[in-house]
Amino acid sequence: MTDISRNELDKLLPFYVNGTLTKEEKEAVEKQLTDDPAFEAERQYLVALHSKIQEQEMEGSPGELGLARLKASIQKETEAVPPTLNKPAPEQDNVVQGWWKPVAIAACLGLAVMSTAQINTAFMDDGMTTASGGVSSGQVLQIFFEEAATEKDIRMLLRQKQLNIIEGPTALGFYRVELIGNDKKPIASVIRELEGHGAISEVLEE
Amino acid sequence: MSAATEDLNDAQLIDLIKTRNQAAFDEFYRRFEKKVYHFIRQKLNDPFEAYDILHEVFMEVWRQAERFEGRSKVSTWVFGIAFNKSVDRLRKRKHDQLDEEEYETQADEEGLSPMELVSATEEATFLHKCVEALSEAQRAVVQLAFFEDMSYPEIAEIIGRPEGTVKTRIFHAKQALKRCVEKFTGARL
Repeated sequence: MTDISRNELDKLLPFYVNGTLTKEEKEAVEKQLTDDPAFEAERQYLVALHSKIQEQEMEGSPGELGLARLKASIQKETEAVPPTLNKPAPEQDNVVQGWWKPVAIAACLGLAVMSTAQINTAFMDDGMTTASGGVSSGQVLQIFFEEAATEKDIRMLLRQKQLNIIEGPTALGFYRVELIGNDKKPIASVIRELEGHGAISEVLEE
Repeated sequence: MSAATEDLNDAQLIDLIKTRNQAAFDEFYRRFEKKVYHFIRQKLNDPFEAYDILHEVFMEVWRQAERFEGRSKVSTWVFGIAFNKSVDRLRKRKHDQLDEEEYETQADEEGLSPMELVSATEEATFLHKCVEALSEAQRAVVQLAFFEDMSYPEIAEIIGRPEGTVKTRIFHAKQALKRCVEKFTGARL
């Protein structure tokens, strides 16, 4: 057995408690535990500490909402890739793209339902409030603004694009906005215009 | 399809993600999302930023899966991405950070006996507050060692520091936690 200094054993003790030491290190720690009551007391403290940290509750994570956002981003990224001249798209890629479309639509629909549920549970613990009841009679979009976007940027954009905030900022950082003056414009076109604006990082359709 | 992916190990999922398999990516996300979010949230202390970083981490997994060569555990790779992105975000923050070494020295004085601390840590609330009070560098190693039960070589790989630094950092974090619990409990100082 390698002779490990007491100082080094002190540093190994937390990893003895979490069960990740090598056999040799473990044996050295156990020998010290037998010989040194203070070291054993330290182990008991670390066991209590480890146990309490393990009991920590996982804060409300984004869950399926986060996955839906990822799928939307991945689809956007996939669509943004320009076709290459020398490399025809393999058949499998077509399958992948086709696979994404219904998923992305479902994801966007799911966002509306899940965001309501999640905001009302875990994320609300963080002191988030909504700007209004979130009631809308028209087409609703979820807009993620860039970190650097100012309140003035947002206000001007809303006025220009004839959008009305019905909820937000939500705990996930997006605003739910209603289109109030774009009835005749296809929604895809509105989204493209919004995504081209420098203050916006992402737009999702509900 | 999802029933099949559930049976795969992490490395097998990554192999499928390399081929752009969506079901494998979904399963991978569901397997790691909570833990990675918890880790980022603990590091940043901000649920909004944590959500953004989580999104970036999994986008990186999707984009960079091909680069994963299996030299480390998949969990080490994913937590490494999360760690680096969290560090980048912290660097962007304007406010001053408490100097880690100074904090560790301050926190290194002896206080409660270990046995007294066993009972002091009965109060999970105290502990939670004390963990939050650690420097972000210490908090990360505490989370990885005591919540994720990772070995010090794994943690070293994730945070990109020598193994000795990890051991020293967690030793000081342990001392800092003792001192913090004392303050909350008003026990002998």
